[in-house]
Amino acid sequence: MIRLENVTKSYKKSVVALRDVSLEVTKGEFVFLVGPSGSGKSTFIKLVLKDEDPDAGEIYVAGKRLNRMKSWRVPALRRELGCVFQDFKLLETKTVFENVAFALEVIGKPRQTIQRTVPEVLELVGLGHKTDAYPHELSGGEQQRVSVARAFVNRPRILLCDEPTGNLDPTTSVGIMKLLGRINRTGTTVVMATHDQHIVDSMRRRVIELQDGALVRDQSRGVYGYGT
Amino acid sequence: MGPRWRYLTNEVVLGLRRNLLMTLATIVTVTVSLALLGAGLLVQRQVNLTRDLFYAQVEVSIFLQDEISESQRASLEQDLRENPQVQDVLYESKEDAYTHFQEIFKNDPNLTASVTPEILPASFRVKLVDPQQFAIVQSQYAGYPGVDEVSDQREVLDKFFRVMDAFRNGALAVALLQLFAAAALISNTIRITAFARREQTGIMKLVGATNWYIRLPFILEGIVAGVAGALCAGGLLLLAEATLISKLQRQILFIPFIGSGDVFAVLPVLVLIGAGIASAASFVSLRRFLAV
Repeated sequence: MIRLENVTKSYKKSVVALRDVSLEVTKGEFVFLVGPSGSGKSTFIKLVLKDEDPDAGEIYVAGKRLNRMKSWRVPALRRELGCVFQDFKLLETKTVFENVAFALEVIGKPRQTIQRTVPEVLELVGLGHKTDAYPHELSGGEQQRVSVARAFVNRPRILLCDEPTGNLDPTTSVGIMKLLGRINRTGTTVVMATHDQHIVDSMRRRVIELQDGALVRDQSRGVYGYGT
Repeated sequence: MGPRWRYLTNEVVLGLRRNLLMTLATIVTVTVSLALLGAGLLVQRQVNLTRDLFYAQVEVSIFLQDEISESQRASLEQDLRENPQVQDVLYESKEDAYTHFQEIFKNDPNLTASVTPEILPASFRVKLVDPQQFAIVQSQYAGYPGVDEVSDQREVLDKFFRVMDAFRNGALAVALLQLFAAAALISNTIRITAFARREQTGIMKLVGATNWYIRLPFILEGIVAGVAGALCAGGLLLLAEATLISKLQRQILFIPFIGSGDVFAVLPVLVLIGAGIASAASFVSLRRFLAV
């Protein structure tokens, strides 16, 4: 589903964000991407989104080769991907329903589809009763649920999460993780960058660890760090 | 209305309202520039309308020396009549010239009193088949015995049309500068709008909206301002036609003038240029400020 072959990426020629990384994530996997800040987790996600291009190496996502992909093909790639971020990225002027519907509107989905699928996905994330609330009326956990709903409403094959629990307290985080687990069980590949040790340790999923841009560990059913 | 269209109209109206002052400034600048451009085009039309008419009526005057002999004059006239370039020949004697002169300057008694038939030259008034062939006719008859000078009214007309051309060029040059200012204003408005919408645009890119879908509201916003300016310019030109030209028309009867039909004929050009400049400026600034 995601394959990197000897990928190197540096910024401004001096800071190396990823160093000769090769890895493969197969369909339906749940993968934690761990490592300290600046280890290259966010760069990995940007590369998969084709928000950035690698300096060297090949990247394949959802069966598509990203190198030299024409810019007009990028939107089609992104429709296969859902994205959740630490800061939710919700539109403050739109209600919960409108925020989720927006993701479908802008890719030209017909109104009937929107009216049918948005309530479904809001029900899935447990916000069926708050469809008309505005983001500022919601708690952090609820806002992140809206964000997950928006990422998932178009049924992407891959869900990319960049520190989704970074702004949330532990109890709320558990709820979000359960939600991501539920989404993973529908067959969606989930890649989650995090440095939340408790979450990684409790989930016992595949762990990929980056350090200074290099892949130092790839372990199925792993924990956050050695000996912890 | 489907979600797509509702989204578009909402975004365009919102964008225009958010920068109301900038939008107005843009529309005014576009209006001024396109009004000037339109004025230039209308002057061109006026020139085209009158130029052919005037030149078609141009006569060549062959002024005769006082000491020309009767036989020289007769053979010159004979020659002119046999020339295939010549359509019509009229002999104007000193007395005829005097009568004409008195008539033309009848409002200036000092001038008419100072002139006698003796000092005015006799001439042949020659109408050419093709007025453009003046130079050939001139070279043919300038060296003729007894001929003083061959001239036509073209020089006067040329002067008049040069003034018109200069006016047109000036109007077009200022219009060009103004269009540049309009493009800069539109570009700036786009930048402000792009900044105000950066979160929304970011999400749109993330969920896979196509580049054109993201660009369209911005570009339409520019086009709306551009077309509004063009229509205002058209209104100004119609107003100018109704007041200025109509007045001239009533005073100067022997010249045909352009009318409101000509304004309507240049209007599509103005609208196209307004929309074109606006969309080009939007497109370029979108690449810079939105990277789409």
